[in-house]
Amino acid sequence: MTGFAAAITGIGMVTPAGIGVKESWDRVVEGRPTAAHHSDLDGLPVTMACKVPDFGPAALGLRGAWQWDRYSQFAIAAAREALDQAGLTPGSWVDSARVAVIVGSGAGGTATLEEQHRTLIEEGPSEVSPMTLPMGLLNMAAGQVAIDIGANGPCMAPCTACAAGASAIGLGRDLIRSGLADIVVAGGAEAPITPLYVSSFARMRALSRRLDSPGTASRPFDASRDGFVLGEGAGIVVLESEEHARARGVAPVARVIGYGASADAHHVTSPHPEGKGAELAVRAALADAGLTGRDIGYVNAHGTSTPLNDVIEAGVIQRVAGTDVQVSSTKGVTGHPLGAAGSIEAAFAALTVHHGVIPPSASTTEVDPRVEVDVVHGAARRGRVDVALSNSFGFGGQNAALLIASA
Amino acid sequence: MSSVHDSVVEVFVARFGLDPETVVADANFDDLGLDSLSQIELATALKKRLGIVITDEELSEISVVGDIVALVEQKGAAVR
Repeated sequence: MTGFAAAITGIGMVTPAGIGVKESWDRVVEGRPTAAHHSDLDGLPVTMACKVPDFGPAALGLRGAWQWDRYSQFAIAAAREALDQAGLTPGSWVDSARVAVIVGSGAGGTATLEEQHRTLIEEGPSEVSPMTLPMGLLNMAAGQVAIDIGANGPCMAPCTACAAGASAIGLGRDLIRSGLADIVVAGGAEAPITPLYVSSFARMRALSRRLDSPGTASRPFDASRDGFVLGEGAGIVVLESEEHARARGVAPVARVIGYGASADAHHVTSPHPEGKGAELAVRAALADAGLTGRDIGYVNAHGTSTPLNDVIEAGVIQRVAGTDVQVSSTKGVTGHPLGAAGSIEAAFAALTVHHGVIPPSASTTEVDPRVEVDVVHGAARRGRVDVALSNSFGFGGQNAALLIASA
Repeated sequence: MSSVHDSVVEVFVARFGLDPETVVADANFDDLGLDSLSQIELATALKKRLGIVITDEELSEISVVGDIVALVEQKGAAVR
């Protein structure tokens, strides 16, 4: 290995599998799906989704939550957990201008925007909330996290759709490597289980229609997969240089050793048929880390459970890393949390190399015969993994690949 | 305390998730963590819940909870 490594010293998570890293990780390792019907989706073409259970502003234990869209609430809760694990106290920075925040999203505050648009149409412009934009904008999770933790360094929000969380971690790594920040709070947040998003994805025929069996609807790499199940949540990591972590006396959970990004330059939603862009991203990450595909022990795949993605992605993985590489998608449990997926899954990959446990692709029973890699399903697999790859591919053909290594 | 006071406190609690114990007559907006956007939001909530319309000019002169209660009492009386 020749590349630069950024230490991951803290992880925070809010996922459909649970609030907090432990709950989320335990359920993903168990392979227990979270998809269920929700009555607030009644009347929509698809009424099932993977929701964060029992999440309310009170869970944040802080006043002011009313002015944050749900996606920002997730981000703030996850950022606090990540900082806590990293042994950092918000507001007590050595130099707050050296603390950066990069939190990406795909949909931003769409629930707020949809609700206020309804108000505009039904009640008129004078009734539109002045909080519409402060809550609804796509950069607000990043802005609100910076406010919440008192970080004055660079603050940005990549909007690379379902790659946003991974882009954020990659860009965060770059800020550490370039010396522009000492600490980066990076990840993605998403709360897209709304009438507009559910309807739009349903109209694209992207969502699973296995409505009679929500618990097995998200089945990445399975021969009978028929679409993804919409999820939500946030995943945030704390990044710093290994020297910085050592000087603080903090042991990293794992390390980000490679990042690659690319564009399909092909179609707005369909992946390139040969996975050209995806493969470019993965190979760029490997080159960045000074590794070859054979060094990858496990892939936490994008694995959305859509007919197209899973077979094309498996082809890319096979070409790059061979047929023996272990692959699973935690979306079998969490569904697809869009812009938060990349960071939640990079965090799961970090936990895989940290604990030596590969979570299974939940609900996958019969692997698609065109998928010629070792899909871990049925139960978690234990064993040392030195390097894990986390793939994220977004609408717009925007791809990000992260290589995570044990500390 | 008047019933108007209680109604106003309920609006603060419902809209901003505040602890009712903190919404006292001499609590100012800063103390409650509410900024100028929150005040506009408060006016909307008062209109929806109590049917009281507070103008932007009136809002600009308000700084503590007691001012709001007084204004609502005055406007409520005017409506009656």
